[in-house]
Amino acid sequence: MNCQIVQQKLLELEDPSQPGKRLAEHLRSCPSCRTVLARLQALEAGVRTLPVAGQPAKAKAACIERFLSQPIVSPSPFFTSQPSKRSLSITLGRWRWAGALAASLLLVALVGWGLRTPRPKPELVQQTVPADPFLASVVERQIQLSRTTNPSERVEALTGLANDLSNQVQQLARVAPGEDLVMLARLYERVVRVGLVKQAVQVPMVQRQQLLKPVADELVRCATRLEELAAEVPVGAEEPLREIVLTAREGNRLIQQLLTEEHS
Amino acid sequence: VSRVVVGQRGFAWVGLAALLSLWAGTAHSQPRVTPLPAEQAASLKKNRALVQHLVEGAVELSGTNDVLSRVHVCNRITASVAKELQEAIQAGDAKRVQELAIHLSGIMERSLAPTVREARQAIQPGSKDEARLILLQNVAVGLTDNLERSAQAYRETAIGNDLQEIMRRLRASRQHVEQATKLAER
Repeated sequence: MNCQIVQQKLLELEDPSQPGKRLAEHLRSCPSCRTVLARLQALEAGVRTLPVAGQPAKAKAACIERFLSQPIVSPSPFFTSQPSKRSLSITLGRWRWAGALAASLLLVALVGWGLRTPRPKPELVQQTVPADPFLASVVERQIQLSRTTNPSERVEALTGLANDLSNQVQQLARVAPGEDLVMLARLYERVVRVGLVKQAVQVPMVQRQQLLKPVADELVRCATRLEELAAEVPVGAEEPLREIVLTAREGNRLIQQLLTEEHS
Repeated sequence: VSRVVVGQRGFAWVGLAALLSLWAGTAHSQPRVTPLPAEQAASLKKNRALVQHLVEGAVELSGTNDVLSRVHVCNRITASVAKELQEAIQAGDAKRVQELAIHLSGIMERSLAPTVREARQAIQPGSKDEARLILLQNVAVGLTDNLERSAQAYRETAIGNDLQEIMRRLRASRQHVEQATKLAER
C-alpha cells in the first residue's frame, strides 16, 4: 500500500484515532503518513471544541424566510413545486406543441392510410406491372409486327422497337456487362438496317414525308444522345454505344435519301 | 422574441414530422413501376436469349408476307417463351413463371392465333401448305401439353397454386390457336 492510498484512507476514517490494523502497519514505517494522521487527529479534536449557535429553531425560520423572499433567478417549470404564471404558461405551451405534433402525426398517418390503394392479389391475371418492362415492350412490338403487313405500320412498330433497344442501352450503359450491351447494339442494327430501312423503302411516296421525317429525326436524337453518353461510360460499354451511333446515323442517311427521292 | 422563435421552431418540427409521416405512410403503398438500372441489368441477363428471339422474330415478321412463314416465326417465338417458362417452373421461380406465362398467353392469343387464322384463310384446303400449317399448329398445342405436365409435376410445390391458375389461362390461349384453325375449316 503506497502513501497516496494510505492518506486517502486516513481521510475517510470516521475516527482518526483508530486507523485499523493494515493502516497502522504502514504508519509504523512511514513518517510522512504519521504526520498526516497527526494533523487529522488535531482537526478532529478542534471540531469537538467549536461553539454551537443558540436558538437553532429561530435561526432556521429566519433562514427559510430569507430564502423565500429572494427573487427566482431562472425559473424552471419542471423543478418548481409552485410555478409562477409565466412558467406555467411556458409549460402549457410546450405541452400544446407536443399535443399538436401528436395530433398532426395521427391525422397525416390516417390520411396516408386512407390514400393507400389496396394491393392486388398476386394472381396471374391481375398482375399489371411487368417484372421486366423492356421484355414486355419487346413482346408487344413482336405482337404488333405479327399482325400487320402494311409497310407504314411496320415502320412505326420497328421505330418503336429501335427506341426500346436504344433506351435500354442508355439506361444500362453504366451497369450492364459489355456483352449484353454488344447484344443490344447488334439487335439495334438488325432492327434499323434489316427491318426499318427496308420497310421505309416500301412506304408509299405520299406518306413518306409525314411518316419518315419523324423516324429520321428520332435516329438523329438517338445518335446524339448515345454519343454523349459514350464519353462517360465505363470501359467496355463505349464500343457498343458507338456502334449504335453509327447505325442510327446510317439509318438516318438512308431515310434522308428516301425523303430526297420523294422531292425529286 | 424567444416565444416567437419557439413558435417558429414548433411549426417547422410539426411540418417536418407531417411530411415524414406522409412519406412513410405512402412510400410503400404504391408499387414501383420502373425498376432500378441494376434490376434491369439483372433482368436482361435472365431474358437475354428470349429478347434475342423476340427481336429477331419481329424483324423477320416485318420482312415477309408469306403466311406460312409468319406462322412459322410466331410458332418459334411461342416455343422459346414456353421453353423459358418450363425452366422457370422447374426452378420454382414464381415471379418469373407469372411474368412469362402472361407473355406466352399474350403471344398465343394475339400473335400466333391471328397468324394461324390468316394463314388458314389463305391456304388452299388439301394443299401441302395446309398440312404444314396443321403440323405447326400441333407443335404449338404440344407446347402447352408439355407445360401442363410440368404444372402437374410441380403441383405440390410452393408455386403449385399459381400454376393451376396459369394453366387455366394457357388452356384458354391454346383454344384460341385451335379455334383459329377450325374456324377456317368450315
